[in-house]
Amino acid sequence: MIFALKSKSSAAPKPWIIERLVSLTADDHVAHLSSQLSAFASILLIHLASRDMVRYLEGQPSWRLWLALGFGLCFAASFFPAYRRFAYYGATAIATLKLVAVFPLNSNHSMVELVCILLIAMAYRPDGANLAVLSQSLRWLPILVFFFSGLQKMMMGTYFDGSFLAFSAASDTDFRAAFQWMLPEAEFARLQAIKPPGPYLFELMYPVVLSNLVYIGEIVVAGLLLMKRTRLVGLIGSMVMIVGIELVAKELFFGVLFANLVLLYAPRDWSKPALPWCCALYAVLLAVTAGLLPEFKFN
Amino acid sequence: MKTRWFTRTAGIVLVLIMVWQFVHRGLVVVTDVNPWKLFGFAMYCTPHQVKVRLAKMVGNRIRPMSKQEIPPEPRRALAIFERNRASLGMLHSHEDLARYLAESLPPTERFFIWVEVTTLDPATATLKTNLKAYPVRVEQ
Repeated sequence: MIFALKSKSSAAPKPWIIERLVSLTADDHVAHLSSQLSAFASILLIHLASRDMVRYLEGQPSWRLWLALGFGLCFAASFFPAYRRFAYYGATAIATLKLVAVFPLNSNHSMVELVCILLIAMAYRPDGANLAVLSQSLRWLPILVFFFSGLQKMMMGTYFDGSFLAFSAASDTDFRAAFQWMLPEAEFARLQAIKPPGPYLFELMYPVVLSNLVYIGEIVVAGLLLMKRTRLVGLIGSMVMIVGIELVAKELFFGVLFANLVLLYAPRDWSKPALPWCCALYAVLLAVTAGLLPEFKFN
Repeated sequence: MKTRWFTRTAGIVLVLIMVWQFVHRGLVVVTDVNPWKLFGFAMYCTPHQVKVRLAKMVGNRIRPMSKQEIPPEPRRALAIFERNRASLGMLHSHEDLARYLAESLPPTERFFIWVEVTTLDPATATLKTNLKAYPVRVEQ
């Protein structure tokens, strides 16, 4: 009997290393996967539609409108199980076309969006057999983005002495408002007075500490998300990082999508309740861009 | 797609993203690729400002020309080159632009495509500009 069992298990195909790699982000909460991933896909589609619509309203060419309408149609179709497959395939095709049309000016965010919709389209099966693996592979994306963002900051070396943040406070309007609020008046005025080529350095210690916390935080939360025992702490830490980054860089569009990617680590389905809130937020951003609401700066 | 094949494909996509980050870093160092572009997660690491101008030889020095000195068509070509060069760095060759300019500029002077790339130097915390000047060989 023992021999029979052994021979049976040895007959099972051995998983490839990459299969084991994907499964590193697996966890035990699988009951809600179907509704969670459907909601995430809908958030991704409304995100894509809204972003192109905002670009069109900002004065970009009319093909942006057509992209927005295409993604919007896919978003609507994704609510009907019979058309869901076509919604995902259609959105993947549109996102690929956009990638080619915009190249080489594509943002890194658009690449992450393309990978998300590509994985969702490839995983689609009416019986939902691929949902667990889809969840695992999507969960890898925040880990990769956080870890490599932190690593790239270390390799570039402009966060050790805070010089990138000092440069941004001195010259970048998006960062300027946040630093005006964070720094004492005299330090902010001193930074503003620095003329190119610099040097761009803080005189105070705490902005330098903050600068170092950025890449350390990114790498640490990536590790916390990867390890099963620390995922909840990683989820909270990631949300804190995202809110912090959004307060400074105001990349609201990508911030919302990225927060939803991190929410895939939640022990319950928080994506479904997040869907109406995300739709409302995108509606507000569209209304702001169209001039229907008071203006505020976001990317 | 069958679960096994989807897992493998997703795994390959994730591994490619990981490997690409190192390739991207190499391209940034060697070919001036924009760290903010091309799927390398190096946004907010350094400014990357690219300026492309036309320059000409005055005496024994290369002097960048002002916008007003350049005819509209070459100016447009320079703007397109600048846009692509700002993302792709030296992966976007200057040769097509040089050939185009060679046909549309007067053959009496020596012209250059003047490319400035400004980044933040971590050693000195100052902006550092790397300059390259490519000759435009105007047919005599």
